[in-house]
Amino acid sequence: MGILNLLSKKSSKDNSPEPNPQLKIGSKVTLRLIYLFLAFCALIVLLPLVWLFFSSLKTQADLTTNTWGPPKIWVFANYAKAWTGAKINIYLTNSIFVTFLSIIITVVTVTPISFVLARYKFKAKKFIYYIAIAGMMIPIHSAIIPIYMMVGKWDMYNNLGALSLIYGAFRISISIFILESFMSSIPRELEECAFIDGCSIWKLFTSIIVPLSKDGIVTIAVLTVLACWNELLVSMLLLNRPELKTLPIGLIGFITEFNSEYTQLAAGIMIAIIPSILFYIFAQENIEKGMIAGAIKG
Amino acid sequence: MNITKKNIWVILAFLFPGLLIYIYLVLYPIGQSVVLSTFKWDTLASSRFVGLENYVTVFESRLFWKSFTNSLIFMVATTALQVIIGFILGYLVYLQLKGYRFFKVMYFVPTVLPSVAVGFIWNYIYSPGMGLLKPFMVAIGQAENYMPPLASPTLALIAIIIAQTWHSCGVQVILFNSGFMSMPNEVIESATIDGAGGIKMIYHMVIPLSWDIIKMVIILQAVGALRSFDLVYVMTGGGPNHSTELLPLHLFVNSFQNFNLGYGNVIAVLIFVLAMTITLGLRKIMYKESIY
Amino acid sequence: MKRTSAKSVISLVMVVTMMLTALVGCGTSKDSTATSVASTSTASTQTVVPEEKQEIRLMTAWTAGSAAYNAIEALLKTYKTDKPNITIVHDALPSADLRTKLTVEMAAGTPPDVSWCVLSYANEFIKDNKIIDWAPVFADPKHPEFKKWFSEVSLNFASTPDGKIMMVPQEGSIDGLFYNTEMFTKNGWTPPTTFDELLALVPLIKAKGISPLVTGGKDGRFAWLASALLARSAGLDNFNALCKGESMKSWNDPKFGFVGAMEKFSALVKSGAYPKGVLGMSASEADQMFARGEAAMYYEGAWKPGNFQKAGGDAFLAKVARVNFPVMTDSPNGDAKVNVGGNIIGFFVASGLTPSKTEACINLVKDVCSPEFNVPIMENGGFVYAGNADYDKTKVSAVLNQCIEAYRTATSYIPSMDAIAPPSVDLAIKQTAMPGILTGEFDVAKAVAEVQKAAEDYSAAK
Repeated sequence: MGILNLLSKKSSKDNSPEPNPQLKIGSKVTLRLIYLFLAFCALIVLLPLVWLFFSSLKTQADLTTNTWGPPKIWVFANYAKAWTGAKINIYLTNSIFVTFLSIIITVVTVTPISFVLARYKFKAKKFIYYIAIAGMMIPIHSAIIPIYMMVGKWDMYNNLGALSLIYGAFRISISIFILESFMSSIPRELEECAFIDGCSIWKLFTSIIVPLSKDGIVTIAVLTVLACWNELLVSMLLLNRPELKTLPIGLIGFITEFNSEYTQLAAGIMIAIIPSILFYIFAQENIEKGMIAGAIKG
Repeated sequence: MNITKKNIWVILAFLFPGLLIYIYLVLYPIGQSVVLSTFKWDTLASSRFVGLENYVTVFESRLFWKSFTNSLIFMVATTALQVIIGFILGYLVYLQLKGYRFFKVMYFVPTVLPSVAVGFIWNYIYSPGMGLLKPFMVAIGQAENYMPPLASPTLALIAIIIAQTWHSCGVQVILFNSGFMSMPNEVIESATIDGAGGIKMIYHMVIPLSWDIIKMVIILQAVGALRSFDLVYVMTGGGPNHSTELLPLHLFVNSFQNFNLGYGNVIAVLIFVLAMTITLGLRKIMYKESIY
Repeated sequence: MKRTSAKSVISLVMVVTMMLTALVGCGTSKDSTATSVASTSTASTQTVVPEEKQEIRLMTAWTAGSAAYNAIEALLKTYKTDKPNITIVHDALPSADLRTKLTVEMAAGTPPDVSWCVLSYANEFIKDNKIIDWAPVFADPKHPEFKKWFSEVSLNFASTPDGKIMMVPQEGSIDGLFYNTEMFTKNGWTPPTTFDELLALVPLIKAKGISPLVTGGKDGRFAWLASALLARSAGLDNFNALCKGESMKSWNDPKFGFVGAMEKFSALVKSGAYPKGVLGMSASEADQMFARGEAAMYYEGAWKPGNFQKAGGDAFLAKVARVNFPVMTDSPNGDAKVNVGGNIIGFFVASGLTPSKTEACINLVKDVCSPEFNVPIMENGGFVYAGNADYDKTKVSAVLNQCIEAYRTATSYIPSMDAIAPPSVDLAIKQTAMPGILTGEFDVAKAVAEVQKAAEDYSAAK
């Protein structure tokens, strides 16, 4: 808990946007080696994606004979076919909606719980904490039939809201696990000061703790996006109407025994990853800003 | 100063909405599946109570032990690989060399890919017909030792582990990176002035200072690996001859393809117990106050 | 400073778009729930009127982009104009996922109203009477079409021992040993008629640097071969006894022939018929190998010509021909005539619906299983239709014509293993025993023991 204390002291006198010192790399050789290594890893990551991009612009025959090279003829029809023919446009909207709602549900429910668990001492605290993170250990497949029946009881099949609620619920454990540890490291003196100033708990929560743990909140939001954006099994079971299905269901439909549209699949994947990359770039900015801003405010 | 007592109702109000959703939508169904693990299905719609009979069947099953072993190997290997690679890359990005933002975004990109996409990419790489491995082995003069990885019972799991690491290492990079970012600057600065550098610096300063985050990443990864399903399902479906069948897939196959829901629920309970044990165990082993 | 403001603008835009799409999404989901509520409430108020509103949930394995998907969507469009009181929700999923969803829905008691289904799954569903018995429907003079379209054998393809009929036939199939004619003539090979000829052919083909046989090993596509081997070495009576009769626990008894079948498979593997790494190969990779001339033969069902065409185009498809699976001269019990295949895929209607809805569902199945619907798909090379309708032979490739011809003239059928054996036994054969022999981890005895154990567990549960 001393960590943040030091950090906040430091930041209050130094408002530089870079939160850590520029560590000096001794020799040029080391620097070059580091760059080489970074570039090598980036290549390993990048090349398959470039290949995916190329594949999305090939014809099926081109992909078969010229698997690894750039396309001989650049065909953009795959995108058009995937977008409207395979209804990726509709699936994309649904996925964005579900993901967005899941983030809200997760953040709104998890933040106050983590706050209480991280900042207060009471008898049942340990018990509640372990109960709350127990859900982390459970594969969703094991609960699938009870969940399916429960949603049926509510008459909520084909409801994106219900799907988001389930996604949100299954993110609670892991999010508490992360956010609780973020919040525990906020210096305790802060709230004592706030309390002496006559702050209510609500005020303490909304105007001190939440801003201070912005980075933690963004982290759980990013992890929620990753999980919900790609979830297949639950959405496949709960959604029947073609106009309500989500992206992963659309993607698996490209390759079946009646159908093998590899190039369209590649195009569909390219479309599917753009929003989540954008979201990450947007959130990444926030992770850094959140850390500094929070510290300054404190 | 204890403000808890005065505000017990406020605290309850803070806990209530989230825990309600959680208990109703997560714990209750899981509780049901624990109950269901003591039932045997004669047909899809009729079942009867059999006590611990399903547990006996599971423990006697060769395939259960095989997938159990696979899961442990998978867990240890992916955790080790991802924590080490994530730590190194997270640290190098933390150094904020020129262009570090580019690398940071780049390393994260594979994590946003759906499993279908990762499977698609790696299936092509590993493909016996047009994969990249065969030309590579031919190029280094080892053509006769070439074995398509997904066809070999020994190599298939390794192949999946590599694909999984490629897929999800980005999360570790980010978690480590933000962990390093919250290390106190003064300490690092003074250590640099004192002449600590390179490996020594990492060992004596960075690791102890970011021990909390390391602990968290290891636990998250280990528990996550036990629940891995998607990539194996897309890439091998558990084959060849069950050599890549992990516990969740074993559950899935038995529940939904074998119509043996009781057996599947036993696996679910066992995964839960295993994950709980591992979490508590890791916490015990790694218990160590951070220096500051 | 400028850079940061640009970024904050972008992030603002991101948030706004996300919120907008969320609103739009919210709107659409609300709309659809509203309509479904409306349709159910009208359904309950006007039960007597024939123009009653119905919503039917139809599940098929025909996902967007396939010939069958376009056909079904076109059919559903005609419903909108011709039968405005019936709304059909078409839920298309790849067959593996469809099976999972069906299982969960059946277990939860909320099956789709009409669904595509394979025989072995229907076998499980009829046990709880979750699906309607078609026998009275076929006998009903109101529905004379079924008897007109399908032969007696086809109509009864999905019957239970106590005479219930679970599904209406839709897709028919027949096995084939497909081979590359160009390659065979060039090298002077003849397609094998006996298993020994097949084994003798293997080294000749290998000498040319070509893989004799190929299959989608990674997808566990051994169900058809398993049936062919068992039927040829043990005969139909033994086969049926093992899969649904009283001898379910006798897979390891050599008398019933499964041991012999696995020995044949082992011999085939040992001769080197499959390429190294066949277990790492998906079905479409195997198709591509066949299409590139790297493999000489391919054994599976009659939908394969469609796949071959996708992999190698019409030019390649013209080179492919089909023969029956080789007979086994040393197996006295073996059936030399039987073909693997028949009707293994059909459509069921869920039980427990209101009479008028059941009627609407039956009519929908009738549309989907009609020659008018299926023949154009067949002419497109999609699959073989289960009925005996006329079709335009010139539109269809030579090899598919061979398949259809063989399908219609076959004297007897045995379903592929995944359609006849209990699911757990089928999995033990195609995911454990046969791959185990291929990897060399199992000898025949061990492979048979795995299947035997699965069969014993299955029988014990009953």
